[in-house]
Amino acid sequence: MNRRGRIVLGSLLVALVVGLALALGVREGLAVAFGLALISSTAWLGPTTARIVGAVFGAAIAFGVTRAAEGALPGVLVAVAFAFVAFKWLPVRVLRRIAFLVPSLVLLIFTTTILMYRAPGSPFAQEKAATPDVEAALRARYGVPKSAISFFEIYMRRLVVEGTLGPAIKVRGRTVEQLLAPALPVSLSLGLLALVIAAALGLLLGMRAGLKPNSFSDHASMGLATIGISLPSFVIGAAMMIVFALKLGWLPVAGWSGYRHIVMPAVTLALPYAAYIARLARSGTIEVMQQDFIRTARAKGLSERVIVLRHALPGAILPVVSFLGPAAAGIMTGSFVIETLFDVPGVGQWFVKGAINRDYSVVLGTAILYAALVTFFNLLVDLAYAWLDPRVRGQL
Amino acid sequence: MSDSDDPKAVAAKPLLDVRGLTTEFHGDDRVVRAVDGVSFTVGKGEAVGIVGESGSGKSATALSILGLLPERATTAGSVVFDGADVFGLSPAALRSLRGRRIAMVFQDPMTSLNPYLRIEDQLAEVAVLHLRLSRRDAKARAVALLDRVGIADAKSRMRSYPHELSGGMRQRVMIAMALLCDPELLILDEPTTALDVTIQAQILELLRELRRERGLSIILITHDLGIVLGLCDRVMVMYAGRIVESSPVVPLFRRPLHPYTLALLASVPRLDGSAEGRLASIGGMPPRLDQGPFRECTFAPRCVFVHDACRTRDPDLVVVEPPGDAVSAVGDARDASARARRCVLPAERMP
Amino acid sequence: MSAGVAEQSRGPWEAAFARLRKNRWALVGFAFFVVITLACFALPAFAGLDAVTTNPVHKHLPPSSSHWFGTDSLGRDYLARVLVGGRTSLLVGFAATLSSVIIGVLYGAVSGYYGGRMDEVMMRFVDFLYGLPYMFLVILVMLLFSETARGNPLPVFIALGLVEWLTMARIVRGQVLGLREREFVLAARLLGASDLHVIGRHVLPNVAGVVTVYGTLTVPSVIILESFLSFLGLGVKLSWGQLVAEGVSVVNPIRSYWWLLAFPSVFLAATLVSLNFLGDGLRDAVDPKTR
Repeated sequence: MNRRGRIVLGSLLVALVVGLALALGVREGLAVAFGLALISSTAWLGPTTARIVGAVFGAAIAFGVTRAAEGALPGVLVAVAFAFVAFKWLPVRVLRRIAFLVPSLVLLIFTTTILMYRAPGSPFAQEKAATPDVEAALRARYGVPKSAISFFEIYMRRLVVEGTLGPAIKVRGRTVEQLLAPALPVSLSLGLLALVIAAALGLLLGMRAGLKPNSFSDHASMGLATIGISLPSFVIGAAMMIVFALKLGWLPVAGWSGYRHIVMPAVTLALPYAAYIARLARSGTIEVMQQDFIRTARAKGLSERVIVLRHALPGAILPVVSFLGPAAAGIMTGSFVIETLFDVPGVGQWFVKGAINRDYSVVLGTAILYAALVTFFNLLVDLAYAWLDPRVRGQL
Repeated sequence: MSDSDDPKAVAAKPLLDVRGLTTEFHGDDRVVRAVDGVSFTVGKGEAVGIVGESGSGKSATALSILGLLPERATTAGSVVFDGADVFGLSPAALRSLRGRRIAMVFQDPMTSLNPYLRIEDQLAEVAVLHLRLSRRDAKARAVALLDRVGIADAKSRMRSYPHELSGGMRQRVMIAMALLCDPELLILDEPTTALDVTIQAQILELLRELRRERGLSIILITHDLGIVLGLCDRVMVMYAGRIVESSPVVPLFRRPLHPYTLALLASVPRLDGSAEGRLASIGGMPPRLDQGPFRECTFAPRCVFVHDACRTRDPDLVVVEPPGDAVSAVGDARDASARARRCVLPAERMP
Repeated sequence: MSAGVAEQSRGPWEAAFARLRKNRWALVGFAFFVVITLACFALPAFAGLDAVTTNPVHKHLPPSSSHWFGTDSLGRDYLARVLVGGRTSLLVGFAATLSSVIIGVLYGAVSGYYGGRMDEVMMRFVDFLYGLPYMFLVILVMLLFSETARGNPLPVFIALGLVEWLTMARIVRGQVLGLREREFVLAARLLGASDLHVIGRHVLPNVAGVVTVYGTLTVPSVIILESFLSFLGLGVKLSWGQLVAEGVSVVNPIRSYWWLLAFPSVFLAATLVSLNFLGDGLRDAVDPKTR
């Protein structure tokens, strides 16, 4: 890299650090910058090192999760088993992601803590009997000192040593895990259903459009898809509510106490992504059908149906599969809004409540959960992509 | 079959009879006539070469025969294969022809093989479809054929993906795939262009052997005159979508009858040529094919022998040897030794 | 007629433009967008519409000849509200997109151009941010600062711009990586051009096409994000997103004030659809492979 390059890189880095320091405070800003540097450096890990690090970190996470559920001894067993299996059999790419995950989580916790502490208000600001003594006692009890860095230390220590996300500050007598545990399956099922609907609908619509480009059904489908990505999902949700619940009475308006309650929220969440996937599937199909090997397949006398299903499909859905990772992340975020709209008791609601009430532990808990879920989804997408495209398999 | 004994009888019933094939590509604002009134025949067991530079219409001709042209192309004329009019076939009948009786090998084996599927799947599906074999039998047949085309360790290679094979191996796989159902006619479009010279020679030798073993008819499309000499009985030279010369192969090389053929032959560098001087190339560019009927010889702008007469009309293809009934379209394979050319200049004046 | 006439060559820009002009949907989208923009910015002044004065007596009136779009819960003329709200949404969309484009292009160009280690580091940073629950943090920030910053558009611009630059940076970097190896760049460098000069005069103009396409497609994205924030009560003071959120909040089984939800939604959707059609048209014009 020449001198000019060095200057540019240097100035960018300085700008970044200065920006962070201004936003978060000098010490905190530097700490965040350091964390970012650490994470970026995972790019330099060689394959063997990545394997080791990934296996170790993965084992640690497995240990923590198992111990919370079952106890220390099962935790150790699971951890060792995981490390062994991971090191031997998991693709390097997956292990890299795991290696990446742990420092990212730490950094996420740190940054979120800083942000929360810089915001006006605190968990104890609305307490009625808020004399300094009482507040000090509360602070000690919940591990919420006045400084962000101390909070961070206490939180991390508690997380690693005791394996708990801490007590919920605003909900007496409950730990964060206890609050989130029932909410997680709700959000997960909603998200997964939405993802499946989005993928199925999008693929169907998109591939059909791609096989007959510029036909009427193509234009119609793509017009529909464009409208789908042009409306915020809560508008679609509200419209559905009005039509299907209020006017027609087919589905319940809101809440979460039966199978029918999942329909509207899931469909609402799914529609914008279905539209986007349809567009991707269409262009992917068109591109694949122009490839030479499709011509070869025709020259062999295969029927169009076989050509599309066996030869074109794997290539056509590749762009869709790549998109599923960001789509899952988007669905998770979008669920905040949809859960609020349809009054669904999921993780998103806890996040919003926690932020408004300044319940630091709840907010952090939801953040960690969210990041872990997104990583998990991206892992699945990586594996799916490799399964579909054999050329990538070798590089894993 | 007794047909093969009597050369005249064999020649009388060609396997493939193409007459007046004309193919046009319709773009947004213009129509390109890539193939213009091409007629020829291919007899049983005969190997015909089609030679020309890129854009001459040779690939389009081959694709037209099997109906593999892209959406916005139209064809006119007739293609008769073993007595049946290909253009009049139903889609199902056409599909049963492809891969089974007429097979095609394409130019670039990397893009012509499906990168997402294993070799065994791509091979087996042809046999399963056309020969109604079980998958196991189809795979066994494929292994045998891979072995025959010279792929070492064929059985384990079946599980490979195209990107795991070398260029030469991929082309052999394409050839095996084409031969799997024992077709009568094999069309090869630039089969060795993407390969290096030693592999080229091997592939050619393989084709020669296969032809002998199976009595295959072959259409070989190429811009490389060298491989034509090695494999074909007859050659057709194409320019601007038309045949400009048609001849048995050795006479063509000994004494070309069309200026373009002469120029092509001259442009091949020779080991015994002069070390100084420039490489001979044909100056100018091929004509645009969307300009409608031509009022002069299409090669005239680039022809070394051009005369005024050449600019007055667009010459027809005329049989010159054996001399006699002057004008007749090529396609008259009753005498496979006929030579025809499309030039205003009398043949005797050619050096 | 002679053969062999050289084809009249068209530069890539002219060719793209010609393709664009033939695309009816894109042109319709563009026209629609212009009309809506004009309506939002010019019409209220011309027609003397008042979006601010409250008039509780006239609250919740359905559309009529005196109030084309009806009135809202405080009796304000809804047509005026929708049009004025449109100004904010459009401005937010463009400002955020502009900032994300500037940051993204600079970042991507530098990363792609220098390549190697630097590129790896920079892209890893982008990957990290990409993997962050970014909206999560944005929402968090907005929630945390909502009292002090409520209604103020500046934090929203910044927050939204910061979300979108990542995609732009990735796209630009990909393009630049490809361009870097092309001959004209090598030629310029051999002639001694400085890096800045090469980036400015050779690389960036070639990236402009892709940037325009994705920039046009980013605006709808940002406007939708802003409406999400409004729904959570965090958006800018008067925008389509906020009006829609209000419309949603008054949905009840007894009396439906459908116009409160319908009109801003229709405007929002129409604008975004137009922009998307235009963006698609641009993309097909610049890269016709996927027509």
